[in-house]
Amino acid sequence: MKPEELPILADKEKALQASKTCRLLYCSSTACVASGSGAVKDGLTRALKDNPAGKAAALAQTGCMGLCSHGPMVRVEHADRPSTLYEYVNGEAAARIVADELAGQAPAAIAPESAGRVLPQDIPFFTRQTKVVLARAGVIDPERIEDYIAHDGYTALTRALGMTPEQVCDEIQRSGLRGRGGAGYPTGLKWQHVRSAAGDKKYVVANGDEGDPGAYMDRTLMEADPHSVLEGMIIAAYAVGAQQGFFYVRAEYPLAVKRLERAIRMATRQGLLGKNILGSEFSFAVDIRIGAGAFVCGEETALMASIEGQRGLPRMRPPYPAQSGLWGCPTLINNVETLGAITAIVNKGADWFHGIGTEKSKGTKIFALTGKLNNTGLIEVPMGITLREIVYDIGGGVAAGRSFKAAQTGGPSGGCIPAEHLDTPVDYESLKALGSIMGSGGLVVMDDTSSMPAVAKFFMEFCVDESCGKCVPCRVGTVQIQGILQKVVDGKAVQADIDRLERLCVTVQRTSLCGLGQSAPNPVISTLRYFRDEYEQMLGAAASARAEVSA
Amino acid sequence: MLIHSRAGAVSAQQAKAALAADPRLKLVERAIKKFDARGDALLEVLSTAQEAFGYLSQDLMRYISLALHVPLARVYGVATFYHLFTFKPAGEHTCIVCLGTACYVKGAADIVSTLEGAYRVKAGQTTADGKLSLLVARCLGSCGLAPVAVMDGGVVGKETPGDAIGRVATLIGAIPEAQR
Amino acid sequence: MITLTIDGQPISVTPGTTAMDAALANGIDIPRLCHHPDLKPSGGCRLCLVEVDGRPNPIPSCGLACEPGMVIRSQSDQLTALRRDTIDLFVSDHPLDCVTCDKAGACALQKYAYDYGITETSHDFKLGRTLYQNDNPFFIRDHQYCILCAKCVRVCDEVIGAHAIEIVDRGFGSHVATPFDVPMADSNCVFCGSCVQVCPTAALLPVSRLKQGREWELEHKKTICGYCGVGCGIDYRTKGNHIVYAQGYPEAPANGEFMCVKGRSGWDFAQHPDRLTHPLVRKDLARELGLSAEAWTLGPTQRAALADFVPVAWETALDLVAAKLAAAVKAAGPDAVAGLASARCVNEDNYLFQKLMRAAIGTNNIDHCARLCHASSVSGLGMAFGGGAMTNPIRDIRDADCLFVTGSNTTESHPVISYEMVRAVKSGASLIVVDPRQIPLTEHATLWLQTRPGTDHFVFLAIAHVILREGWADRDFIAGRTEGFDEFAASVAPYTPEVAALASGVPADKIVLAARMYALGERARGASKYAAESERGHSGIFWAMGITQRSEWD
Ligand SMILES: Cc1cc2nc3c(=O)[nH]c(=O)nc-3n(C[C@H](O)[C@H](O)[C@H](O)COP(=O)(O)O)c2cc1C
Ligand code: FES
Ligand code: FES
Repeated sequence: MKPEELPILADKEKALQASKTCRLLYCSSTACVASGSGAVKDGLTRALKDNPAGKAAALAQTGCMGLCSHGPMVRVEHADRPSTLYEYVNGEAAARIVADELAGQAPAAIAPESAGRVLPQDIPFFTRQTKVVLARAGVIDPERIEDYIAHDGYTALTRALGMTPEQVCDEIQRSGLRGRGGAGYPTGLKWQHVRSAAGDKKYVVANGDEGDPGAYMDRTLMEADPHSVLEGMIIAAYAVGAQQGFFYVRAEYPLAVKRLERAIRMATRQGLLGKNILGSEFSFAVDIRIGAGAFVCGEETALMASIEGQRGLPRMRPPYPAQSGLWGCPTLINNVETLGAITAIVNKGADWFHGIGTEKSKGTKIFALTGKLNNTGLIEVPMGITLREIVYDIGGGVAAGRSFKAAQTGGPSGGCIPAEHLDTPVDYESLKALGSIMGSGGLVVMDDTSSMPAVAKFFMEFCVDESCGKCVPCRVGTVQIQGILQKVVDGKAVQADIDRLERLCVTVQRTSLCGLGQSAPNPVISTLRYFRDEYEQMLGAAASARAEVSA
Repeated sequence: MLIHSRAGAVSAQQAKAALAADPRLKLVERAIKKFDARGDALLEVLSTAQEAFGYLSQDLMRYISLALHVPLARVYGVATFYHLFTFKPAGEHTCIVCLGTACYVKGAADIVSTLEGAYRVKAGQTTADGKLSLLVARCLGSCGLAPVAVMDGGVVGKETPGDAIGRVATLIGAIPEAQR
Repeated sequence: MITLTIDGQPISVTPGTTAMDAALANGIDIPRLCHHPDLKPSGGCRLCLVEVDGRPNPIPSCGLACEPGMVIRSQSDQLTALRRDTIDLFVSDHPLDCVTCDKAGACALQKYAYDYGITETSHDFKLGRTLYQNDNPFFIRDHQYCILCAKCVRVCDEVIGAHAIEIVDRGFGSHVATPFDVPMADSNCVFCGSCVQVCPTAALLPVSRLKQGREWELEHKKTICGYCGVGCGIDYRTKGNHIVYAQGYPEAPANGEFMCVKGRSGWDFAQHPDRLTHPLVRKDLARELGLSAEAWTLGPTQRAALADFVPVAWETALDLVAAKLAAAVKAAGPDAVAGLASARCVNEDNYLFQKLMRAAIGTNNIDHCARLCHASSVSGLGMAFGGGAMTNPIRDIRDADCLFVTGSNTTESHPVISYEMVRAVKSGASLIVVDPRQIPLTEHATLWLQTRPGTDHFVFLAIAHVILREGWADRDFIAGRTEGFDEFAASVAPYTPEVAALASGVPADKIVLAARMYALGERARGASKYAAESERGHSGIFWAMGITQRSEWD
């Protein structure tokens, strides 16, 4: 299509939506599907069919609304009044919701514990968030490109195509956006590197491997708003001069894959992808590659080996992918969430994005808030928010009357943050100073029942399992660390083991080949830093001494 | 095409013949064709084969090696690298328990050990009668519902050991020995 | 050239050189277990870490490209500590059996443990691999000693092109295996033994080496392999007058460290008890001449021959031969005698033999088995290039951009040359194979033109036709070095690709593609190292008996 056709399509879709009395949206993301949103969909469909006013209403699936622990969720939108959000919906509740909403009544008062009760939208869980990347999640139907276009979709691409590639890179650089995949490398700078690298053939890769267990930001984004990631990728390709893109998505995410496939197909059909995009000179094609269950394949060089059909072994850098990536060609690798932020930056301007966040960490970050909290789910917050706000305001505090012990960010590559640092602002540098990392956005809260050496052992087992085996510190070192932690947990360790543990951690950090090994000791180092007493209490000698005293 | 091996020349046709007229091979062939039999599509083709057959047999890997022009050693090396691929047929039913961080913190390990005890099977293995494969995963991306399990493809959240036993029992239509 | 400093020493290197190679070339030894000059860097052993000014963390020198002005230190307290810790981890997963180990003295891990004073691991000793496999007559695989440097896998893939083995599984459980762990003999292995050659530890050892003494008791006897025309250098490790095993050595001009199965393992005849080592004279003749038997120690076959032969002294035998030859010449003139020499003998012996025939006996009746193989190539090459021998050193092959192979099953007939071809292809060169058979090289070919037997010349003529038609020929070069070119051009004019296609069964478009790839020296991947000096890549034609022996010409 031509750029001028885009608003026409948008208006058509808007008119269609406005012609309906109301719009019922049920969440069809993986979490809500698991809680039973299939039955909700059936309930809603049946109730609408049975109701004479049903024809005038619209029913649509949508992506994650955030509070996954309260799913399945349903949102009902009206043109003339604020929307209503229902939680814990089931089949019967769906019928009641349809009846109430079509009758134009306020939701009937029901017992507080019952299914399908109203979830107020002015609670801190929602009000403390700033939705930039997730702005359309839970609002649009992810399987309909028209809905995306009606919500400003592909306008950023039109705008970008009107700029020179250098200007696009500059804009991203000025916005201060940093990579959301973990390392926080300035995105605009990375684009510049790829753009200026020599070579006719270039690639863009969206990293959707999301290996951190306990994190699902990228999954949700791909499921709830696949076009925004795709559009971000097309803009990136234009900026760096790439002709081919790959989505690398883990096999555990079939729904995300399905939605991306559909998005690619629809965008191609509309001329937003493929040859001469939007009538311009620029052509770009996208394929999906499925990861096959290897955490290390989130690491960019291993990921490229995997796309090339090899064992997912990382290799030495330099050369960086920007100089020599897929099949030796310059390659841009960005995290899915990083690409998801692009359209907003292009549309609203670098200055606007730059205005959110802290001095060195700009914009918003999505976190998967999990663990022992009252509210678990997916949140998007401005950089610089304190951990306390996240845990207590958004997360609703620690569940079941227990107390907060620590929050783990960065998963197996990160560290824990104890209660005394709850007021630390969440940004790349502050988290690093505490011995953790921003990571990709997993945030797991542990309460006072968690044993920190056991948590460290859990992460080390993960690393042992996921080590590719190429370099000796990671292959052998993690096994030895795990062995010591096992001794600690079994009460068989002595002080010398702890000394050896600390030294080993430093060796593995300093000598491993890739980020997996280099960061594998982090959970051990950080739990030792903040909870050394727990380790010491578990030492064999200490344990037997205590036993004697109590005897 | 022929491969030069001491065991004698094996052609793609022969390797295919070893798989007999298995209709599932069609899916693999289609994947091979979709990627123009390019060697770099090895993972895609292996995934398709794994999904179609439920595991990768030696004949299947040999066939893929020949069809994609990828040395058999590499096919085997790649297949054993990724956790997704298995080399033995799975049980009639599968129960995957997530042991990702969020699920671990919420006690997923107890679910695994309960099921292990109840069905006398180690995580990652299949019961002797071939009815149940008990598997563990590292995060299924539904952490908001932790602990999470997948029973024959269906995701269930906020599991307890008790729930899990019940669900598996309905799944395979048998109450665990230990509870009888 | 760029200049940098390593350990205070200013060093100049060409761009693209790694810090490791720069150091080694300048006599600075950096510890290393996974580096090999003929293999792409891997970075797995972490011993070669160096400090670079301005970089916060130590970097492996084997993968570090030199940059102008870089300041590198290969020794420091920090590096020593890190290397000690790394070796400590290695030996937690590798038995320190050095007192009984057949590799002791040649083991790289042992050397570094010695250098860095590691006597035992400070960790819990835990073996990741314990398999012992002796499933073939050539080498054993003892996995407990494997340190997963992957040199064996890399050499098999990058140099030999067999890719018979791969690392399977992952992490601590990784190990080197054939597909499905079948015995080596059932895999793609060609038993060239290059994996054994590059193995730094006792994980791979020649069977003939086992329990044959300590490494330092063995002598080095360097020689040239007698099997094919490649002329590989071999270093026989011997004890007494016995070969214990054969190994390659990097300085060997034709083959470097690599050999084929024949060179590496086909030496057992040298010390085989059945080998004929002493002159024997027919029994009836000996009786007639009254020759006395010599008390040689004889092997079983020779003893069995005693029914018909008598062992005699060298002097006796030589006198007898001389007398008989002289008698023949006297009786019927020198031309009654003819000599037939062999390529299995060294050149010096062949020279002396023809001297004997021509000067002593006085006949020109002297011939050599190479007549059959090389008469046509010697005269053809002589006419075309001025000399009847190979035009280039073998080492040039790896730098070629386009290889054109025809009439040669290189992998089987000249395996070591095929290694050079595989290396070229692996680093991006294109490979055109013109052959009716699916020879192993076709597995690596960019383009395989499968001609009907006996029709390859149509393809060659059509390629020449296309090159001239498309203007890809280097006219200046031709003008300066040829005569009669116009007649040649006229002779190929009728052979369009379509004509050749009809005759040979090779599609015309493939012939055109081959012509372009060859004429322009097009690579399959990456840039030519000759890019700077000419806009074209460099092509090479490789042919052997399949061409010299062809007789039919229509
Ligand atoms: C062990 C390891 C795992 C990683 N996993 C992921 C991942 O799952 N997703 C991701 O986007 N980046 C991951 N990364 C980071 C990538 O290597 C890379 O830095 C990132 O994709 C770059 O994108 P960004 O600049 O947009 O963050 C991982 C890195 C390491 C070392
Ligand atoms: S940790 Fe279990 S679903 Fe993410
Ligand atoms: S020699 Fe450089 S890492 Fe092994």
